[in-house]
Amino acid sequence: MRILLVDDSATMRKIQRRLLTEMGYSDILEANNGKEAMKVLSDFNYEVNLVLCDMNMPEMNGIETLVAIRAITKTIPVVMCTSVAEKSAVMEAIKNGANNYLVKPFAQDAFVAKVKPFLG
Amino acid sequence: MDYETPCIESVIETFSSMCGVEPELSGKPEIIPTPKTFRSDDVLGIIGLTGACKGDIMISMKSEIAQKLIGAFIMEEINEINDDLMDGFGEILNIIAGAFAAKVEEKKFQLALPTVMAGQHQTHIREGIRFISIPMVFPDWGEFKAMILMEEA
Repeated sequence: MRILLVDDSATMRKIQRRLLTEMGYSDILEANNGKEAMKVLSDFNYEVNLVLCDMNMPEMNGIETLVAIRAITKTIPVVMCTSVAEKSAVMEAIKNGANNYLVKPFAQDAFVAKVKPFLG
Repeated sequence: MDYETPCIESVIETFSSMCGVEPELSGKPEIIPTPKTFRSDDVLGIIGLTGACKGDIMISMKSEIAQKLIGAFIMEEINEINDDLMDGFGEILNIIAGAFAAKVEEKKFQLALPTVMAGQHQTHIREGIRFISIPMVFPDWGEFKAMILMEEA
């Protein structure tokens, strides 16, 4: 299982990486923003099982990243990570093909519950 | 409008759920007359809010408290002000501001990107800004300040 973490915060990527590692996943890719994410996906020939994507990022935000991913593939599950203030944007994300969303602040069990269904 | 309560709740909820430590109020929130020059502690985080009105949320604390807090957030020991601390502090502030904005939904606040500064800074708060200082404490670690600055309508 290969997972791509897209977040401009290295700290959030580190926390998500640790949680995923504790869940038993080790093939984890990282991108600092949407542009980097698109390059990473292309480099890996879109063979990624899950994308966890932050909403509020510079350069290319979460919705723009989601739209760019969906223009190329509809099959990679994308879970958007959002702060509670961005909840209205969640509807836009779902309309644009997001599979689910994770609201920050989150506890470990909430993270596992949102991510696990896409990883079998 | 009461901005203090949603700010206090957001700080407590975020630190509790993301860092596993629950801060408390250590005094009454205070409206500070402006103009005012505010001197921060060793670590100062600021995040802007725009919407029906403009404002900022600021958190200021001593370096050793910030190290413990962000260490608990990322579950790694932090012994200095480094990139992990600065980035983690900004992310925590982003989550607090997001929770705050949701609690005052009618203001339709959008979040700016957070800024974190190390070292004691003097910040000039201009006249016409409602400046609320909220003294808080981590019972085992010590005091810090949460602050809300809002342009008065």
